[in-house]
Amino acid sequence: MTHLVLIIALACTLLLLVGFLLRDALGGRGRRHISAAAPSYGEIPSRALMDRIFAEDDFSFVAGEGTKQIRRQFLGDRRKLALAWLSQTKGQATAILRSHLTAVGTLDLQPATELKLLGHAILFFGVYAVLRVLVGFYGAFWARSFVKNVLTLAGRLSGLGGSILADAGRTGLQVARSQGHA
Amino acid sequence: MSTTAGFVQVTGWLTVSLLVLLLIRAVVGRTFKVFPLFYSYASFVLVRTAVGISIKWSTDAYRIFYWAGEWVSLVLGLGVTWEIYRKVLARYPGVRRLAFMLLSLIFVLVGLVSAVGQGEGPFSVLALERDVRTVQAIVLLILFALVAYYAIPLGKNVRGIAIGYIFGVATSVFNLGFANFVGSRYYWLWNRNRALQFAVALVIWCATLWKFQPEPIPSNEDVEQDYEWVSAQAARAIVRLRTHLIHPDGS
Repeated sequence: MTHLVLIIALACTLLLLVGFLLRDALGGRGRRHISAAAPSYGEIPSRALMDRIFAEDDFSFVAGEGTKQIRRQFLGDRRKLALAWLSQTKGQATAILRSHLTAVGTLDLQPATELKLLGHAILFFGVYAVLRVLVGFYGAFWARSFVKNVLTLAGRLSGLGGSILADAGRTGLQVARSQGHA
Repeated sequence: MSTTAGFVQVTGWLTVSLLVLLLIRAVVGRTFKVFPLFYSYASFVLVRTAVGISIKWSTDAYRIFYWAGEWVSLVLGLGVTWEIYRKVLARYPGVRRLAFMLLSLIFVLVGLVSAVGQGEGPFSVLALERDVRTVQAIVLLILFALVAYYAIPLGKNVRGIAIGYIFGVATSVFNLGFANFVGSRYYWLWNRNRALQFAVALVIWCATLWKFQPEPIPSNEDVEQDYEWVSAQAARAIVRLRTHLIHPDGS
């Protein structure tokens, strides 16, 4: 039964591919423009803008002064702004990737380099997807503090890991010395 | 003549007419020389279908005729896949090399899986054909995943061949999978459907191969670019964007 399900899934994927090819053939997305120049990497969306969107001062001020309705509206607006900023950043990444891929298609590609770039792209889109979900469900401020906490935790774990390795190295060296190997 | 036999005759001759039209257009539209493997496949299917529906076969003789024809058409079909691969990636040596590596990996994996799975059950021609078609389907999916990833533009002719052929492989994988699972009860439906399914592919081919259309030439073909530099720039930009997402305040 599993075999049949896999085969049907494969056949459906092929039919989907036929659909995409037909859509392009009928002019749905037409031919993509191929740049003759070297790829451009454009401007990254402003950091200052993001600082402002996530600024906790604004939130504290509104939380202290405003009514519940104003606070709700403020949070809703910040969520929209944060999502727009995320979309802009994703758009930039997509443009970079598209620009690179159309530029290098005719060159002598190195599989390892291409895999590395694909890895970076997957990681970027993974982080983007997580942030999009967090901001969408919990709002900009909660997402920001969550990411900060995760980063702090990761930093501590990394530091802890480093100390453990250093300790293990020292202990190993001492054992080796005591046995006369070093 | 029973209703089923009548249906098979009508759809069979419809297929033959479309194949004749396709081959006439191949000569008039000067596409025959450009896609020799595809037209060899179409010519073989034409002869096979015309002979198959013209002669009154005994069951045993038809079985031999059917399976011999099926295998020749399968081998010629692999040639069509090869022709699509060659034409689509003709101006993209780097992508061609990547595709070749990926496909080699797939063939090694399939070989390993077959070697491990040998002796799991009785040998079946139907299951073998299904497996070969499945591998062909995976090859086509990998090829078009690369085409989509590198935004490779497709010419109208080769796109048409690919659409019709992938549709044929998809219906074939589907039919063989069901026939293998359900058994002879499915043959009734399969017999009625297969000519119609092939007719759909033929209509697509006739429309897209009506006249010769050259493959689009990438406009950056002659532009000198340092691949290592371009890739490093792209990777750096993506990493910067990721850092930007996680640490928007620059911390």
